Amino acid sequence: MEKMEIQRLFMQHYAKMLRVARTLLCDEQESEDVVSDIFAHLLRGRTVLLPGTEEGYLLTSVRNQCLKRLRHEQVKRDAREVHTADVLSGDADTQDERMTDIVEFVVSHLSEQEQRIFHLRFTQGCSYEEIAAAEGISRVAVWKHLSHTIRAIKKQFNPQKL
Amino acid sequence: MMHLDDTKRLFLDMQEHPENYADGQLEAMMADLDREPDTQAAWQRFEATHSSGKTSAHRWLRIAAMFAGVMLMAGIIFAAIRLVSMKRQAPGSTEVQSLTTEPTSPVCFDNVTLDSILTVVAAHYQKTVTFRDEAPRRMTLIMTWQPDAPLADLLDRLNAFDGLSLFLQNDTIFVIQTNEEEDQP
Repeated sequence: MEKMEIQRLFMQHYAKMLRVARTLLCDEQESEDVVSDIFAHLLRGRTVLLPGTEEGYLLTSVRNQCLKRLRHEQVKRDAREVHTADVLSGDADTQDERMTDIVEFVVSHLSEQEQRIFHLRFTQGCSYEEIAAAEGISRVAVWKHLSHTIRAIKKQFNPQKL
Repeated sequence: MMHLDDTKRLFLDMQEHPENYADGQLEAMMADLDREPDTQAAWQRFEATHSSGKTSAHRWLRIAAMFAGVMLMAGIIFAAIRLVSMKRQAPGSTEVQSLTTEPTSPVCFDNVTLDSILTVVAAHYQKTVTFRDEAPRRMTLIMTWQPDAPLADLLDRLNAFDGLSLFLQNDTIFVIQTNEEEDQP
């Protein structure tokens, strides 16, 4: 992908991408690294983004990369060598499948409002303020809904990890 | 043993037990997570890190150093096959094909054109090669190849080279010259 095109995507989507990464990693440097790595991958020219798919691709990439880092981090903490190979070998397809499973779980197990809030935060990269305004609730209420959603996801998919 | 820093621990606990925190504390955490980044500065850092303005000599030194490092780390004596004098051959010629008879040991390509390398590699993995641009065909590389490793590994390594992009689609390895080279003065 051409550098000018990368710059346009960077200027347009960096803030949202960083926001999603911060929410998942809560580490500024790691979040910046994740976002930077995604643009570096695009710069190497292997991916062509169709018009209208850019934001979806970029935010999905952020989620997947953060998920991967969180799992690696947990594996290091656990020092369970037997699991290491499985986790490290998790390729992009596996990560995508996992994310798809999570989205399906959200749709089938959470309230409509929690689904909307999850979607606004993690697939549209909205701020807490924007979500609160869209839902007509306080920012603290948004935090509590998202916390409930994340706890449910952890319980369903990874009770020992994440 | 890796430890979560205080902020991370606080963040996780606020997610697990928001009822234990005052609204002001949750608001402060949200403000921190949503603060606007300096996108322009971030772009400049990214651009500096991924600058394409390297000289050709610098680039080849970097490539050579990278593979020298890999070879040292592996501690393996590679069966070096010098192909420097190998004349440009049409794909499928006898001499090139002779290298593709199921090599199992690591192969060292020393200043070999990408065209020749991919002829050998593609035959091994039973793929075909299509150069969408002609310039990469003449690029000469110094690199090692593990015949028992997946083709994707080799493509990833080749994609690390500036100005070069390879991808596999329907049993064909496509090779494209990226615009980085053209951007250079």
